[in-house]
Amino acid sequence: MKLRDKLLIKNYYKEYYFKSGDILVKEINDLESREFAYIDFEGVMKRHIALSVNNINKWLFDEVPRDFYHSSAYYLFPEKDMGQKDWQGGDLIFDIDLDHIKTYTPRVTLLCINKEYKVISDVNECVEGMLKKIVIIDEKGMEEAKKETIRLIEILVRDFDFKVEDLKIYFSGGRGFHIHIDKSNIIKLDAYTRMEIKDYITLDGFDILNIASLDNRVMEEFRKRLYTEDGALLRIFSVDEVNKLKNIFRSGKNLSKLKKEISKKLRDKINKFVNEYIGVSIDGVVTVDTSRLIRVPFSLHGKTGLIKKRINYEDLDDFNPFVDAIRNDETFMELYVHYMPEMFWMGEYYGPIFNSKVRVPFSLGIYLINEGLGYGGKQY
Amino acid sequence: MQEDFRWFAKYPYDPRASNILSNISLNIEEFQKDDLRFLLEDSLNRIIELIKGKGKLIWDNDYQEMIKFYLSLLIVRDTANEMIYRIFSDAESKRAFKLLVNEEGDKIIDLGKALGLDMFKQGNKFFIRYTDFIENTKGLSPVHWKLFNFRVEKGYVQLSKRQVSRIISNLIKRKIFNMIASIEATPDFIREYSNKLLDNVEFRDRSRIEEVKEKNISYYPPCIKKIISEIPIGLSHPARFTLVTFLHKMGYSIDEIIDIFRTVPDFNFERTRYQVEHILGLRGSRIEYSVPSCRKIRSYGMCVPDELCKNIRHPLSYVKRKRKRFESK
Repeated sequence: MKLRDKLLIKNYYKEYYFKSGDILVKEINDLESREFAYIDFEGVMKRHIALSVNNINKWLFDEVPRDFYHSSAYYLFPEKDMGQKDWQGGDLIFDIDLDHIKTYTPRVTLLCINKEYKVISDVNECVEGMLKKIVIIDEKGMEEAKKETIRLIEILVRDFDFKVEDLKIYFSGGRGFHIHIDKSNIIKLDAYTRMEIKDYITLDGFDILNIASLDNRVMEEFRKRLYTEDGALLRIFSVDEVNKLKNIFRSGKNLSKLKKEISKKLRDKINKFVNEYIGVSIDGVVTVDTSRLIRVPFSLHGKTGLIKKRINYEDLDDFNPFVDAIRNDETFMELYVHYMPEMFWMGEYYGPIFNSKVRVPFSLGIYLINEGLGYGGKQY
Repeated sequence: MQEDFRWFAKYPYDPRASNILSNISLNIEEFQKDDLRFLLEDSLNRIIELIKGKGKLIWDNDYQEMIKFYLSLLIVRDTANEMIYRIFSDAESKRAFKLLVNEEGDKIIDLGKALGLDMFKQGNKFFIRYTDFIENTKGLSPVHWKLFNFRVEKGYVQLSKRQVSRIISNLIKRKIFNMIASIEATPDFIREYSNKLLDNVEFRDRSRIEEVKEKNISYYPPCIKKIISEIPIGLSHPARFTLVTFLHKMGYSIDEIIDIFRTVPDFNFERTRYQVEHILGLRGSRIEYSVPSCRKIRSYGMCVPDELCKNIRHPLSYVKRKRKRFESK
């Protein structure tokens, strides 16, 4: 990144934190017991920082984090080294990230760079020049992530008895969603329990041979998909196998008899189907790790310039990050763009554009510069 | 009252028994007198029978049965041997299970609640809070007692009478262990009995804690073999981590481990060396990480079990057992 662009972007972040520091303070539960960490505009990570309600605004203005994190954990001594922090508890956090969604294929664009940027459809087309692969964030991907988030919320409410209002739902600022739970009865859960909750959601390690009940969540959903002839079935099973399964799963059969009727081959396929289509794709490490760093709510994402925005459950269906996670006082940026695919941002479509100067919402400008697709920004 | 005695003779660790116990004004020293001495003798026999799996589920005198339990705790504690604490707690837990499955549902619920579990019953189905379920299935077969195998509804796990009895008896095991471990001192006259107990207990083969070093890949568990076979196409972080810790325990040196990673597509000598040394505790936090358990490997989505894996909880035990099986052929 060019120095001038870096300064321009840093200024945008500085101004945002100057105006929005109070929102962060209000949103973070027990701020003074958390460890803070950030990556600055030189790309250096700094950790073990303790902040207070009184000094966080000034600190943000002075340091200007490019990416800003806090611990899911609460500590007695958040500023000390890991071994001496004295863990008191930690939020239960779920991270839905497009990269972890097993059923999603990302929108990949191949570029061949040779003086100018050219979009190609096959790696071999780039004979002279440098190959660059970019994965663009887009509405379609975000819809996938949203669907997964809604499935997760259903499980948390229906099976784990969480109230919708206990779930703090956020757009992550990048390629997904976060759910934070900071209820007092939850924060003391140990890593063992969190892993069990995580496995219940992802179904990692599921084997139909070990189920203890035919009306658990997995089997209920499997039967539902079987009898509604869900399209995904045929990606794993043959038509014959689907019919065979329908026969096996006819109600009124007891569990051990049913297990006996499932062949080894069918068993493997069921397990695969369950894991891929019934399991919810969360990044499990985030949930299990009791002292994880997670992006601070209402901070700006370092790569996209979008806000890690809180979303009401009722608004989740209509939430569009490219409209709703942009600053209210968003300005514009004029910059030189090598290439930009068609992108929806702040209610309008931009691109596709090659090798020209454009005026785009400032956050989109940040994203393009960070992806190495543009440079020479000027505030408008 | 009579009925209460019956119950507390069966489950003397039921916290509600403390009312009755506090009414018994019997000094511990009195048990060494001739007319009560037989109770110590009986307690010792009770322990030995219990450990052999021949514990009695019927007895003549409820009051004495209850006293014998508490004397047993003293005898076991006096051995100062945690292995014996464990064997005894385990045997008591098995006894509890056998008794519990024959109780009425409401009584099971009452006991569970008295032991601190959040649970209730509806018809012939039992419900237990999911956090209590997770906490109290620790140590049971990690494959069968995964939460996702059960129906969970509004925060409660649905269970049969047999399943709920299993969970409560598992809790009892831990409770008894803690009761023993928290006894600070035992009277001198107990020594005679604890010595007899030590003479009677057959210790299991100590090879449990003996190290395994094995470089023959055919003895390795299937998950490890799979990771090794996937080296050329690249490994996830948990896979690398698992492999490094495992190979180290098998006796591979750091250089040998780095060598194995040479075929990783993005191999970088310095970085690999750094990571390997980090995992083995030679750098950074200086914590030497241990080989992940089967439970963790399953949770990483890397478990590809074969028949032998069924009753195995740790990859290192797999190697031991596989080798033993091979050698005995």
